[in-house]
Amino acid sequence: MKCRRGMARLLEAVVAAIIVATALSVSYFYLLPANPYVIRGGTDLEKYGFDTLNTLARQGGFDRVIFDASGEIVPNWDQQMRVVLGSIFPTGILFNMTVYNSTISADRFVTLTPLPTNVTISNADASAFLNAGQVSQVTFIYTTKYINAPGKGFYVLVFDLQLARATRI
Amino acid sequence: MDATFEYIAAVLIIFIMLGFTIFTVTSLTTTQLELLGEQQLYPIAQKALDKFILTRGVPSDWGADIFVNSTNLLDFGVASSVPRTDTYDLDANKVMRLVNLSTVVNRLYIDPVVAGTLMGLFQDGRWSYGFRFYMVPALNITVQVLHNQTQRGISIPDQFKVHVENAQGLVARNAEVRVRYFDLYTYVLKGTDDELFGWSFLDASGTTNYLGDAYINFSSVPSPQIIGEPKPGQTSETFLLMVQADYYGLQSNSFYQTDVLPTVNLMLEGQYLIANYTELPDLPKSAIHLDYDVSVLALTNNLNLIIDPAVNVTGNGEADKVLNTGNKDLRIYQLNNTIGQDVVLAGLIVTTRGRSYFALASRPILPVSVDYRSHSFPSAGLRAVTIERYVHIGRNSFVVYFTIWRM
Repeated sequence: MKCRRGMARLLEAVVAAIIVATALSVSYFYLLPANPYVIRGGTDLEKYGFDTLNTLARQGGFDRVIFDASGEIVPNWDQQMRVVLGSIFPTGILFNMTVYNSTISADRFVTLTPLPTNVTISNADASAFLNAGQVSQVTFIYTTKYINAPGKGFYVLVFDLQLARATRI
Repeated sequence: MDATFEYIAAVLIIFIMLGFTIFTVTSLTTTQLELLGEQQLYPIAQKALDKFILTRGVPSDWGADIFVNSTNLLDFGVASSVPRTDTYDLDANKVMRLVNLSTVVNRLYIDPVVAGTLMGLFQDGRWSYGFRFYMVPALNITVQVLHNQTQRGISIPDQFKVHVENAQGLVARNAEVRVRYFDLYTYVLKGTDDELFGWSFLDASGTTNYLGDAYINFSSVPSPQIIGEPKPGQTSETFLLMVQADYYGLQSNSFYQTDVLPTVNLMLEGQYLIANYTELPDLPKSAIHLDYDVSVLALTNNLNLIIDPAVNVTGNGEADKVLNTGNKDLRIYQLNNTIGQDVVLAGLIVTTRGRSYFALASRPILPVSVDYRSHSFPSAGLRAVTIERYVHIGRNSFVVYFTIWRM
């Protein structure tokens, strides 16, 4: 009789300890963030992207890349844009840009039409962005100011830029 | 088995298992918290840099106000105090307060401890975080003389190669290069003893090729345009090539001088030009004519020349008390008109031994505009975070690298 009571209590103690350890281990996985490496850097990329686009825009950089002197879109503007962005963004920053021409239709709806491209304005393929962990997006609206062609007026361009870091931060 | 031993064994088992669990969870949590702590440097760096370059400080025009110094600066920030400027526009005067040259001591230099305190990085008498604010022009422009021609008995460069790179060291192809070639000269008209000053210039432009080079050729060089008859032998010339490069909106300036006068070092601080000149062993100090009122030549980032009279206030007035370090070779000149944000060069014509030189002060300083830090670089292995931004002073673009680390 004494041996059975003692053995039962021993078993109780072991089971209780296992339950406590399991509960602590499970709660540990729920308390910690999934990937601390990328959650802090997203805001920095957004600010950096906006700052870079603003710098290019403020003195007519976009006008020079996209349009010619007569206000027409240059055929290889996308290749030029890719070269310019590739030289401005430092090594290790992935970028992908799409440019839309914003127009107002007859029934007063805003229409975004992508500018014609032959190449993607990007320095990496989609899989690189997926592996980066977090992608920041910047939307920048720009009204051209350096085009002075008769009958052309101005363009309202919407720049959609995605940025990511190629390496873990 | 005796029940007592069974109870003891049970308790021991419980303690061992709980202890092992606590130890394992604690060590894993500590490792992850260290990783989180390192990643927290990013938002701290962003906040500190936003404070640095997006806020104006208090008072908002502390850069040009020589009576605001490290002891009475209420808040720190180098953003432009001009209303309705664009984001990331900096105030050139505030940027100059972060520079201390070996050639000209800056009495208006803001101590990094003060800046750190106002940014929250220096607290309770110790640094919580170390920082470094490093700013360079967005385009690195170098000028090389390729050919000279002899005119008026002097050898004058007439062909230049302008090389343009971006801040990462990559060549800037298809950058638009504009140059203005100045001839700055002094002369004395017949029948007078007054030394007069004049200038002429020629313009040229080009585009950089795939190597980042633009070749600028002048068929003729600028020459003095003197009205009246100058005294023979008393006309002295010096030449200055001002360069502006524009790479799809990134703009920077550079310059090339034909004659450099090593005896005079200048710094522009707000409305004051501080000149420090050292005496060459065989050159008497009086030959340099720096004790008079002068005309300051200011060149803008659009290659325009502005003449601003300046009064020699050395030894006189409040400005001298603030700016003069007591160096007997120091001269303080107060400009009549406020220097605008687009002025990138200011200088004096210095005449010595029958020749004229143009002593220059660039603003901001070239080639490294600002290297402002709390300490020397952190030791190897210490985690540091660097973020970068494009900023502007006037029309010129600069790249800022802001590094922060835990102390």
